[in-house]
Amino acid sequence: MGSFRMAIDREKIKVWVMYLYTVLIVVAGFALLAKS
Amino acid sequence: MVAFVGMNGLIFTIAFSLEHEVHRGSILLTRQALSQAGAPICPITIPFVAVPYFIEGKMIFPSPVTSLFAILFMWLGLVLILGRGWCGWICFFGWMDQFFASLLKKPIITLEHPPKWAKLFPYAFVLFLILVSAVFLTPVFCAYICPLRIIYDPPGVTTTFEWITALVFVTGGLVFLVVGPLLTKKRLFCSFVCPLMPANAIVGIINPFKVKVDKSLCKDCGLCVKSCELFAITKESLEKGGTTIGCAKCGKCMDKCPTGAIDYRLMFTGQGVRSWFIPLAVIFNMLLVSGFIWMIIHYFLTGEMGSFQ
Repeated sequence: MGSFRMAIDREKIKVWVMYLYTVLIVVAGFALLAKS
Repeated sequence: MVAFVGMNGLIFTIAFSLEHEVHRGSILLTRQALSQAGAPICPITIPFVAVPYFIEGKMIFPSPVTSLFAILFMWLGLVLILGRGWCGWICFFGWMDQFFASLLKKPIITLEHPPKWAKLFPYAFVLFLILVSAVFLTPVFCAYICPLRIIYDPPGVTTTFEWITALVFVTGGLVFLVVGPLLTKKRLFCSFVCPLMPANAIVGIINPFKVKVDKSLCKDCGLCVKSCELFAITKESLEKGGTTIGCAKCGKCMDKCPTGAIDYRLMFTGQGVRSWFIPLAVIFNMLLVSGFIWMIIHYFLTGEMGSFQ
């Protein structure tokens, strides 16, 4: 039986996490602008 | 970018002066306007007006508290989204520095590497202003120092003391906003005086859009260091592949770089984000500009002028 190994591309995950962070920051910024 | 900041600043100045003429009958900040809390709040005052308000509950600027919160949220929202790109794309006070720094092709006085103490000065200065404003409950910077008051809310001068403060405004304005930027091709007020600059730089650390240098393409020609009007690219920062926290993301270094090594990148990654950052910066700039234009048009159509308060 062959062993199962998941190929995790850490760089890709980092990019996606940072994109998510960017979206959160932009949404938070818009929310503050709307409040002003 | 120069065109965006210039247009923003110019139209803001027209709307601001018109509003004062309509509501006060003069662009001068008179004692009567001060006593009626009739001065429009300014984003530059945020550090030394917000801190005394939150600590002592006192509004030290002659404006309603609601104005402080409105400008605070607007500033924080934009600095979260653009970082110190506020200074490069949004600030409607940066246009004078920007304009005079752009006039000559070459600087008459070369000022590329200011001493470290000069670069740290704005941080010490804003701390000093926060402390003094909190202790004396007066916006000391606005009342006695701000060089921008050569155009915005210039004081009505009657007493000798008022003449002296007016002289300080004019001298500071000439040195940091007109002659200094003209001779050095650097934004001296924005780099060394503006109390909002340290706040922008510090909050901007968490902003995901960064200006990065691809070291494999960089030829160490130094054009980016020369072209940066805010001393935000140094030899040390280039070695680390980026800019200092003082970077306003204006893109001048990118225009000058002969190899295209400098670009907007996503924080902690090499991902290009030019197509995210520039539209955001342009949209917010245009939103502000259209607001100012609307104020002017609305006045000429209806005779009613909105308020900067």
